[in-house]
Parts: sequence; C-alpha cells; structure tokens
Amino acid sequence: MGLAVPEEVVRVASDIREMRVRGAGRIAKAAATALMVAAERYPGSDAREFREYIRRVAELLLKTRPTAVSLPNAVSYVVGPLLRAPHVGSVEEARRLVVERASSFIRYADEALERIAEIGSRLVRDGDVVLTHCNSLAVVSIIKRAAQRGKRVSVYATETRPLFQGHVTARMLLEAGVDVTLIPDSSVRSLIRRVDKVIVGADAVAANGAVVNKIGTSLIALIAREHGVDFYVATETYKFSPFTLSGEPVVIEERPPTEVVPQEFLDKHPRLRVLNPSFDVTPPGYITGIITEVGVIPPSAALLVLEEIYGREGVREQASVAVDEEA
Amino acid sequence: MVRPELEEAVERVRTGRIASSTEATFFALDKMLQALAEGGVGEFAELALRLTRARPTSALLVNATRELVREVAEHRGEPLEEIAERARRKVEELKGRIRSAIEASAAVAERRIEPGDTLLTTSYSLFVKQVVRNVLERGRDVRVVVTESRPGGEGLRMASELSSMGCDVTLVVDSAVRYVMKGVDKVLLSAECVTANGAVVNKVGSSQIALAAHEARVRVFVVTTSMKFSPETVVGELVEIPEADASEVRELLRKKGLEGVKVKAPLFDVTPPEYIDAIITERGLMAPSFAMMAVRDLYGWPPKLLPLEEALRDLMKGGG
Repeated sequence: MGLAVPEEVVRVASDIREMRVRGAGRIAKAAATALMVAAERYPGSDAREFREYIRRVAELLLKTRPTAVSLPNAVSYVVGPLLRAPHVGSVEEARRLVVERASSFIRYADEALERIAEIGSRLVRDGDVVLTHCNSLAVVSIIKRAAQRGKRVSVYATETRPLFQGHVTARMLLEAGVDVTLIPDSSVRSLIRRVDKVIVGADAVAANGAVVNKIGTSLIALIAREHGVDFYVATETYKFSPFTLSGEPVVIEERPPTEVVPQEFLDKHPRLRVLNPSFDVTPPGYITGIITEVGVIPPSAALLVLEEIYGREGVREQASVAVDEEA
Repeated sequence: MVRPELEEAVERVRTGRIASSTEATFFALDKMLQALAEGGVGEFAELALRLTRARPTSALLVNATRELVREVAEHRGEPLEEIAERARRKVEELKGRIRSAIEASAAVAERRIEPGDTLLTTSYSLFVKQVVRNVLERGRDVRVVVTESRPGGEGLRMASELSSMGCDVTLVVDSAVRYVMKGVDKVLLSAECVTANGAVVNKVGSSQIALAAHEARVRVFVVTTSMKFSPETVVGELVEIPEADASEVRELLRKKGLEGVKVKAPLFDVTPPEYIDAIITERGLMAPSFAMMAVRDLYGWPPKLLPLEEALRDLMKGGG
C-alpha cells in the first residue's frame, strides 16, 4: 500500500507530459517539488520500501519528457544520494535526505536564475533590440533586469508555433513595461537587420556545446550568423547534459500533429503527415556565448562546466550512472 | 471614384488574402474589366492605379496591367463598348499566356526532379503545384514537405491540394525548416517578383528556407514566368515589402488579453541570388544573374517601358 504514488505527484507528472508545465527550468523545479511531496507523504515505516517507492516516483517523472535534460539532472540530484547509499537507516533519515536535496535544488535553481539575470543584463546595451524565441525565464529575467537598470530595451518575440509560447514571453515583458513586438517565425530573416542580439533559452546543452532548444532556434542562429548578429543562450548549468559525454544523443521529441492542425484537417487528408518536432540542435559554432550562473562561457567550455559540477573523474562516472538510472 | 465593392477588391489584393500572386493578378484584371464596363475609362484607370499600388511587389500584376492599359489607351477614342471588348480580349490573352507559362515552366522544372526526391516548398503556388502534378503523372514517386507559411497559412492549402493529387505530403511548422533540411533533396520556390539582379521576392519565410538549403547544400529552384521579372528594378526602383494581413496573429493576442503587444509581419521577403541555383521560366532554366538579360530580351535595352502611373493619370483626366 505504501507504494501508491500520491495523486498530487501523478498530477505533476501529467502536467509535465501534457506541457501544462513547460520550460526546462520549470520542469526541473516541478520534479524536485514532486519528489519532496512524495517523500513527505510516504505513510509507511520500511526504509527499503521507501527507497523503492522513491525510485518509482523518480521513474514516473523521468518518463514524461525525453529531451529536457534538466529533468533527469534534477531527479538525479534529489534522489541520487538515497539510491546510491549502500544502506538506508530509518524512513525518517531517508525522507530527510530527499527533502533536503529537493529544497537545496530549488534554492539553487532560484539563485542561478538571479545570477543569470545579473550577468546577462550586463550584455544588454542601452537601446538594444533583442530577439528571442519561445519562452525562457532566464531570457525574460535578463531583459527585465536590464530594463530595471534603466537600459531601454525593445524585444522581438517570435510567435513560436505550434504552441505560441511567444505569447507567454510577450505577456511577461509587457507586465514588466518592456516594449515588445510579436513576429511570425517565418519573418526572422526579414527583420534580423533591426536586431542587435539574439538571446534564447535552452532545454539541454551537450558536452560539445551544442544547444538543444525549441524548434526553430537553430534556424535563427543560422540567420544571426549570416548577418553577424550575436547569438546568446541563457541557461542554468543543470541543463548541461552529462549523458552526451558518453555519446548518448539527445532524443528530439516529436509531438502530436493536432498541435499543428485541427483533427478535422487530418481526417480530411488521411494520407497527409504532420511532422512536429519539439526541438532542434544549434551547433556550437553559431553560438557567441552561453550565459550561465557561473558566467558567460564559450560553447566549447561546456565540458569544463560538466567537470566542475561532477568532478573530472565524476563526469564519466556520473554519465554512466545517470544513463543506467534513466534506462 | 471607385465603388465600394471594388474598394474591397483593392483591400484583398493589398493584404495578400489571395494566396498566389497569379490568382491575385487574375482577380485584379477581372475587377479592372468590371470597372471599365460599368464605370468607364476613368474608373478603370483609377482602379488599375489603386490595385497596382496595393501590390507593387507583384511584377505579374504590374506587367499585365501595363499591357492592358496600353490597349485601352491606344483605343480610347472609340465607343466604350468597343474598348471594353478589346480589353476583355486582352485579359483573355494575358490569362492564356500565364496559363501556358505555368505549363511550360513546369515542363522544364520537372526534368530536374529525380525519382524518390524529397522536395520542400512554402506557401501556395500554381507553378510549384504544376511541377508536382507533372512528376506524379510521369509515375515518378516524390515526397513534398510543405511549411505552414504563417501568417496566412497558405501552406495548408498547398498541402491539402497536393495530398488530394495523391502526393506524399508532410506538413511542418515554419520553424522546422532547418531541422528537416537534411532529408530534403530540392527546394522549389515560386516568385512574387524577380528583380534585375536575380533576387527573388516571395512569401515571407522563403529567404530563410533558401538560407537553410544553402547551408545544407540543397539546391533551390525558383519556378516562375518571365512575366514576373520586374523591369522597373533595372532603373533603380526599390521593391517595398508590404505588411501582411496579421489579423489572425492579433486575434490570438486579443483572446489572451494581450492587445498591448505590437505585431510586425512583412508579407514577403527577398532571397538573394547567391542562394538560388536556377530560375526556371517558360523560356528555360537560367542562372539568377541572367535575369538582367531576360529583362533586356523582353523590354529592350535600356528597357523601354510605358510609364504606368503617368498613363493611368492621363486616362483618368480623360474621364469617362
């Protein structure tokens, strides 16, 4: 009985899967919170059973979205020490371990966002026109911070088909009093000449500095490169993927066709296929810098970030452990 | 004065509500004939002026209108019924020429499509559609990736019609172009206008498709007609890009209470000649840099053009 996953946790998992919670940072925090709730709600007294129960909750959360590396990183951060411990003491001890790791992750995530806002805002000049794609809390925080510092910033936000996350970005910026213009995804090259820099978020950063982000990001990076416009990625380091180090490719999630066209259109054209990839990969050569909580790094320094997080030896070890856990 | 129903026609042509530039030209020519028959030469001239100004990017519309205006101007002394009849015949002839150009260009372009090719296209084009139809009729199997082509979403109509023809069609959002490009063999674009330097003005998004194709070393063909070459650009006229009808974009914002958000949505963009492998017309396949020679062949050197606005003002003064 003690193994039943609390309804609240099941709901968080389905919110992530159905993209009611979206954005790599928010997904990571939601997963950490869900693990905390799960630990707190465990009613039994068997420590070994508790560990199995937490493993099940972790697996449930990991299955929701395949691409966002923040999810396995957050889950691994929260439950790793418990699952790797040679023996568990009491349920209370084990519970405290999970809750502490979860709240320390959430605290870290909040502080990281704050640091990114501060560091990133220094890259924004007075009068800059910034183009962004999709909705990234890190990017919005940077622009808001720059505006608070008295810099006049105007923003081009792409609509971001199929789910129009550009509207979320527009709302956040509008509420902060930032001048924002929504543009169709197809018009980026038409308007790039008026843009001073591009700043986007990330769903994952690979060991070679390639950035996985919302579909369309790599096309924008290519356009920015063509016109010599700086292209920055703003992201917390927990989105850097240790798995890629072991050669694991980042899986690009394909989502349902009904996000793009209504069901009636599909019914009318039974032979027509809709390809709806959620993400694409921007090569490191198109990226000017990655704005993280530890500083602005060139994409080629992604491995340095991984080594600093997991330790030089640990990088390889962590990579293999994490892959095993995910499998 | 132009009547309200014709006023509406101007608006439809301006905002690109009519998906293909060929269809928009047919529509505009019919409206000019209506103005001529019902309102006389003065109203015809005013409407022609308004329509060509509403869509100055459409070289086909401007070139066809120029021919029609010359016909009307040459016979302006005759009774209205006779002028109207001559104009009607001229429009029929123009439409016939455009229709045969579609077939002739497609016949050239289809030779470049190999069995098993995956093509990528955007927006709605009668030229590209004809190429795919020919290829299918030859029994060659071909896959077509079509982008949504927002704003306007004409790609949905293109995907729908190609699919109904029995073509294997994959629809993608405009953002997915670089993602899918690795699996694409050739890009087929149409044109709103070809400028003297061989640049192609087409539905917004075309130039970033061509850029992604260039990066992936995928060939880009523009399938069009020499009637869409713009002789004005030889004498330095700039092609001004109009704003698209972004009412859908705005409506989505309004539903979410985001009226404060501004919208910018150009209707067309310009693909530079270096991203185009060939421009295919009823006269054959040519390098983009040859556009200048094509203009010389059509309009003489330096191009001798009937100054359209002047001619139309002249007709308006004449009244009717």
